[in-house]
Order: sequence, then C-alpha cells, then structure tokens
Amino acid sequence: MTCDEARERIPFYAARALPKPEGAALLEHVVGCELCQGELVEAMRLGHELRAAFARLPGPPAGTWLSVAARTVGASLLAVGVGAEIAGLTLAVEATKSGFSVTGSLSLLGREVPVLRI
Amino acid sequence: MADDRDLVGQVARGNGRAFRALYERYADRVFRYALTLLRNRHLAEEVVQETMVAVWNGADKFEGRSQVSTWIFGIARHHAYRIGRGEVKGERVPDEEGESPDPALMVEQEVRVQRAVAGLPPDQREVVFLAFYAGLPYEEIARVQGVPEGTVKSRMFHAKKRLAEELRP
Ligand SMILES: [Zn+2]
Repeated sequence: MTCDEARERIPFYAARALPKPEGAALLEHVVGCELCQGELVEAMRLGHELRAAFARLPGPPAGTWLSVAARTVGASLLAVGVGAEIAGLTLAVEATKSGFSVTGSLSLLGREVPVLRI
Repeated sequence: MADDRDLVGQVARGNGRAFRALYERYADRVFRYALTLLRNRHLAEEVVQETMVAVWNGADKFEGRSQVSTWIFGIARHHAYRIGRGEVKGERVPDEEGESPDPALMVEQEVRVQRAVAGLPPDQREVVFLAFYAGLPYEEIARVQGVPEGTVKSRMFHAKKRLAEELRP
C-alpha cells in the first residue's frame, strides 16, 4: 500500500468504517510509516470529536412516533407504554372517522382517573 | 436482541412491535442525518416521518443486498432532498443557521466541531456523518450517495483535511 492509498483509508479506519481486510493492510503500512502514523493519530482524535459532536445533536420530538404510527401500524398499537415514562399514566389512541381520539388516564391507588381527551 | 434484518423481515409481515423497535433504533440517527443535510429541525422531523412510513410500506421489498442502515439512509436521503427542495409544501425552505442545540449546553469544543462540519460542502458533510456517526463502510456510503467509491474517498479526504486544519488545537 502506498502513502496515498493509506491516506485515503485512514479517515474511514478512524471512523471504524473500513472493512476488516483493508484495515489490516492499512495497519501493515502504518506500522512502517511515520508520516501515516501521524495522520492516523490525527484522524482518530478527529473521529472522537466528531462522534461526540454528532451525538449532541437533538433527536426527533417525542410526538414523531405518534405521527408515524398513525400512518402505519394504526391505532391498535398506539398505546405504546407512555406509562413507562410517566408512572401511572397511560395513553390510548383510537381511530375515529374524523381522525384520532386520544384519551389518557392516571392510575391512582388502583382507580382509573381520566385526565385528558383530545 | 433481534438484528436489523430480522426486524425488517418482521415489519414486512406487519409486525407493529418490530416496527416500533426499528423506529427506536433509527429515529435519532435519521433525524440527525436530516439535520446534517438540511439544518432545519422541522424539516428533519418530516424526513423521519416520511422515511419510517416508507420503511413500513417497503419492508417487503427490501432484498437484503445492502445493509439495513444503507437502505434506510438511502430512503432518508431521497426524502431529505425532496423535502429540502420544498416539493412537499411548495415553499422554498430557508437555511436555518444555528439549528444546532443551545450552545450554552455544549462544551466549547463540540460547538467548534459542529461549526466546522456545517462549513463543509454538503456532500462532504454527509460523508463525514455517515462514516463517523452512522458507521457506514465507504462502499455503503457510495450506494447511499449513488456515486463511485472513489468519489466517497475523495470527499472524505478533503473533508478530513479541512476539519483537521480548522480544529487543530
Ligand atoms: Zn505512509
């Protein structure tokens, strides 16, 4: 492997996105080449920083799943364990002709208390 | 834990729980990918919705010739470009600068890194995301972008060079 070929592959190696056989061939070159060693160290540091920065980006809003589910799995599966996130609160969504009705209830000492209807 | 292919197979048979599991596995990554491409949270959410609906509808056509992640990012890319061009609502979409999380909540270096990534040409930004964050091998990135592998390598080479220069301590 030449230095040019190694330089092309180093960022992918640092990204853990290089197929194994190519990674092995790359390391064989890097072991004997100080310049590429420096490149690899720099790419690994950069990779670490990039992963951290991307991981800080937000995720989709919580309601996105409901919108997706309404268009796919349908109403039956929309009761998706919101209760697991907010203790005692369960949500049920029913399909109606005019759209979806969302009802929620709060389990208090074994009694179901309806808390919302949209 | 079921692997991605098992989940897609179950989704193809209409299994809602498998679909929910696949959503949990991919929603964040697809959202961040769309955010990297479009830099707009509302549009990125739209991309997640359209992508996951397409996954539900198309799971039975997934042939397994590529990784599931390649397939899903490919769908997301298609919708991101469609939505980014404003085809969905017929309106031109502004490029929202600073559509990243509140800088006050982030350490300084992460802000620098995100700014440096945002400053790359879109094709390079995308390669950096798909390789470093999504962990796609370069031949899979080539499939997602629909370009030869050599193009992906050269985009990465230039992106890495520029990022390293800008972020050198
Ligand atoms: Zn070398």
